[in-house]
Amino acid sequence: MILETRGVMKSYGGPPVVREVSLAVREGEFFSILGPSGAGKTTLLRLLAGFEQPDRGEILLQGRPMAGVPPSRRPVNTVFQSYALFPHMTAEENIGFGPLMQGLPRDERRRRIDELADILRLDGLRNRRPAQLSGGEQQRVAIARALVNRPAVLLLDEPMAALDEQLRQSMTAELKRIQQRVGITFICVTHHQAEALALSDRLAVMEQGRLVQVGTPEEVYEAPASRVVAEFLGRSNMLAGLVRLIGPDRGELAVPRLNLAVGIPSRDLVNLSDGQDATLVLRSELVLVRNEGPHVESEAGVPVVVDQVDYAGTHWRYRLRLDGGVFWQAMVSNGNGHKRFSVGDRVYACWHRDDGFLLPE
Amino acid sequence: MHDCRSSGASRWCYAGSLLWGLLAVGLPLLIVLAISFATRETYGWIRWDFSLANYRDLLHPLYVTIVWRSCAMAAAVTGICLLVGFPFAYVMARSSPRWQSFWLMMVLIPLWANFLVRTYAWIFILRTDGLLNTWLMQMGLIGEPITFLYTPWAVLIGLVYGYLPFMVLPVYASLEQVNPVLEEAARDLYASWWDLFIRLLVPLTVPGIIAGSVLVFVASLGSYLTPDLLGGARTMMMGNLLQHEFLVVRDWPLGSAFSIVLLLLVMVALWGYRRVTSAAGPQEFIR
Repeated sequence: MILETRGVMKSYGGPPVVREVSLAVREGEFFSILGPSGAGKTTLLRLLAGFEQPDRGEILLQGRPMAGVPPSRRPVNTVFQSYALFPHMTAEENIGFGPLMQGLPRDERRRRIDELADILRLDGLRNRRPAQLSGGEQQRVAIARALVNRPAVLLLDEPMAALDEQLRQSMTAELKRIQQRVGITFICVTHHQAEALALSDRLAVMEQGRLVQVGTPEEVYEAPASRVVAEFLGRSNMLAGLVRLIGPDRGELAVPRLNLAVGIPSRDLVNLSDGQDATLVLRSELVLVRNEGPHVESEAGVPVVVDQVDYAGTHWRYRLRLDGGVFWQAMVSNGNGHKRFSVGDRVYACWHRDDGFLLPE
Repeated sequence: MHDCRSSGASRWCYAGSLLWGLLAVGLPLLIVLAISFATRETYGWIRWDFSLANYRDLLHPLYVTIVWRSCAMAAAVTGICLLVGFPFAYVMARSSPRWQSFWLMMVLIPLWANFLVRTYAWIFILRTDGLLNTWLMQMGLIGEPITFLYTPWAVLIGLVYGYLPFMVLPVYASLEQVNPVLEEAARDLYASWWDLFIRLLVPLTVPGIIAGSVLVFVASLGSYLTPDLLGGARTMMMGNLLQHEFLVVRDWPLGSAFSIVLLLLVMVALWGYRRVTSAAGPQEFIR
């Protein structure tokens, strides 16, 4: 483990911003900390960088405890959210600042700057000041300025937040390429789930100062550990009900309020007991919108009314109203002869039973 | 009220302020310039002829010494104000908003009191049986009282005290514009405190430092009251010499020539300020 935290707590006088965070990051990993704003992600990153000291718990970097070690003595460097480039220095002077402060000899500094300028494709921009660089160029300089010091861990605070949507997508691929090329452990804080899913080897979801789930993107996306994670990660649909076990491998979720019962995925049955409260979670891209209800055993479905239809290029986005004021969302791929429904149509929202996911309350 | 932005009235407003400027600034200055080329007659009358004699007289070693002393004193005051004012402004700029307004009040309140009164207070502190000597003797640090008052040191202290706010305020305004994240970035990149100041904060606050320095330098150069009250006759500066020539000796032509020289020195300082700030481009320094 290149970085470990054990029961780290931090508060600024009020309720804790970071609570009992225990985390282990492997060497060479692209690790993301994902969560809504105000979840304590940035504070956690500042604790790792050394700008803040934890109230309790410890942080180990390469096995060494970091209590009381200032940022300048830690084998980590940070890419700040607003990049924090020095405005009076050229791109090259910015990149060379760390090596200069470390007192590296001139040749070594030059070699490292050349190397990073090559990796980040900065040739031609080296003598420009930050004000003369675009947002994406500034970001590349900021990454180079941190990587040039060859840290054990690179910390990135919302690296894409200041970029527009198109640049964000190309920089996501670029960031992955850079990380693979330099082989340094990246820890990236973000509230942008698509970015975290695309980039990370593993990710942690943070909510109200706690880590609520850690795993690979597939694990976290496909098997969210809680409603909060499910809500945050995907446009997931929820349905709360009561578990009713019918046979050894059959069960259903009863929703008395809607006078409805839907089949429970068989893999979830082992974790559930009869009469338990549970929530069905279903990702919006797995919902089938059609005229007929479920026609085979392996399917489930509920009657809905089309409330809103949006065209989103690659797919249609439906807002569906269930009885009792519950709304679902369905993303239906724009192809395969999909017939478009209109607002007010009475249809069925169906899904393969095993695509649903049951979370005990 | 006239709205100066509307087209017809704007010309009149402009003409009005131009006229006022000419009357209040241009005309007196022209009179001083004219007198500086005239000659003194007995009883202080002025004979209107043209001669450069006054300017030649200024080359007298006594006057040159006074000009030199004034410049050196102004430079020393500026340097000390910068050394004391910069860290103070830094602490101010990085305090919480409540503390910022507190410090700002602390800087501004003395400016509301009369300068003469504040300078008299320094006499009470600095004189042989004053506060400072009493305190030093009670502490057992000195056996005999030290003469502070009526020395160049007293003038230096008085001027630094009087003009420190003029350094603190512009430097504070500049420092406040520097994003604190930049300091974190520098610390993350292994900068020591010294590097942080020299390589980051000072370059980023050049406009404020220069503005403060010019204000303090110009004000010190022309100071009259402080050297007069705290320096005694031995620490005469340009301001005192001017007063002496005009009111005591009643040699208006020489005094006028001296005023023109003082004015030129100030203009050189301001010109240097313009050059440095426009070359640096103040906008570039922000954030």
